[in-house]
Amino acid sequence: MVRTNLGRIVFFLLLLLLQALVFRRMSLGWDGVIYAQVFIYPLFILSLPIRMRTEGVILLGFLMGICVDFIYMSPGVHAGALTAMAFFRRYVLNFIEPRMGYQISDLPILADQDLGWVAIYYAICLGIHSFWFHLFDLFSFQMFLIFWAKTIFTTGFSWFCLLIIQFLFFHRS
Amino acid sequence: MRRWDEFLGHFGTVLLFIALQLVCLYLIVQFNERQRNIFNHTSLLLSSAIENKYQSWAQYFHLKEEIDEIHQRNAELRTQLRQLRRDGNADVPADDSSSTTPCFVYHSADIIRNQVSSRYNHLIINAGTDQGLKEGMAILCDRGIIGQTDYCTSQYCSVLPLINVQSSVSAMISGSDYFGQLSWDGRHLQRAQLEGVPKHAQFSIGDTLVSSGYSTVFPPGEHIGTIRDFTVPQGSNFYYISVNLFVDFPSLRQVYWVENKNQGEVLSIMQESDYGQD
Repeated sequence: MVRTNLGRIVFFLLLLLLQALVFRRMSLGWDGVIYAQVFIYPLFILSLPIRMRTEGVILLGFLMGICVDFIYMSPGVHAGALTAMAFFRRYVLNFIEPRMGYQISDLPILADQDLGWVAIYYAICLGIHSFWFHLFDLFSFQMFLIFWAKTIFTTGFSWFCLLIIQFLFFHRS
Repeated sequence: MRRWDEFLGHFGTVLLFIALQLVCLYLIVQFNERQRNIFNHTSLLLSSAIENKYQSWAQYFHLKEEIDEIHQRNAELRTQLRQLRRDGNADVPADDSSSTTPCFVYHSADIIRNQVSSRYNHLIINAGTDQGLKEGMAILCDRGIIGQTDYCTSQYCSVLPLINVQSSVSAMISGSDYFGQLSWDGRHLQRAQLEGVPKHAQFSIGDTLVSSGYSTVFPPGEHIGTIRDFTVPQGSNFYYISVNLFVDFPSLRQVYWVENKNQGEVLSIMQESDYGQD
């Protein structure tokens, strides 16, 4: 599904729908504070080809983020976070590059890479996304502990869900 | 053009990223009420802090002008004060109280060079003959007498301060009418010596010395110092009095110079009488 441009457009819309209808309702929290949410829309940016130009990735991230912002009615917050993740994706990919290097046609998905690599790649990228998201969401440095709690729980929760989606839909048959 | 391409190749991604982040921040602040409140609150705090800092700096830079203005005003007030005293006090001799022109007029000036390290100390002030300064005029500060002018050019003037071994000022012990000559022995910047007060004069340590007014230079009643100690040298009929000066010469910045409107008249009388004696 994510190997052709048409497939990517469908994937884009599908992720938006899933985020809006299903995962938006999933959240964990107590005492009136939501500590963990599930964001699956970063999967679109995470699944783009490894050798794609970073400018394109950033623009697509901004587009996706703005769409999600319309769903969550929080203009700029998701867009900023996903743009940041798209920008840093290149550095993450360089950082965790296997000794053999990447194959030209490789995609950063479970079908092409091994589980350990995908898990690390998702963890770092989702961490950046969650950090940036809560930075823009709280917009203040006063709630330091809550900020880090939200960042860590959201990262873990989203990471878990994305790995399950990988297993269900992108696994090598 | 090629440079521009290279620049974009290197920094295009970063610039795009920063631009999009700024767009997002704008959207956040514009359309999210909670974030907007935080933003407004923070920016108010920041801008008021910056404004505060700027204000204090600006004030600092205008301090000099303000000091000059206050000093100028002070000189005018001192002139008026002296005139009022003269008009209201019948004891002051040789004066018609109906006249409105003040006898002593105060003007302000800055010290531009201040030497206190030798026995022949000099000050230089930034007023000269163009401003009406002449040789032999009194130089004061708020604490008391500094000295008298020595040599003038059109813009500057050299001052012979009390702490020059060549200086000599007529000083009176406040409250009595005894007076003597104040001079400096070149040892201590805050101490001068008063000689010529007769042995039968009565005073005590701590009494104030003021200018006597028995000269055409200094206005009467300007402070000089306090009596620190006194002795009568053997075989002498006069006290030798050690004086603590009020003025701290090394820290002087601004001074007044005093114009005596009647100086020429008094000097001509003195000359006449000198001729009479001869």
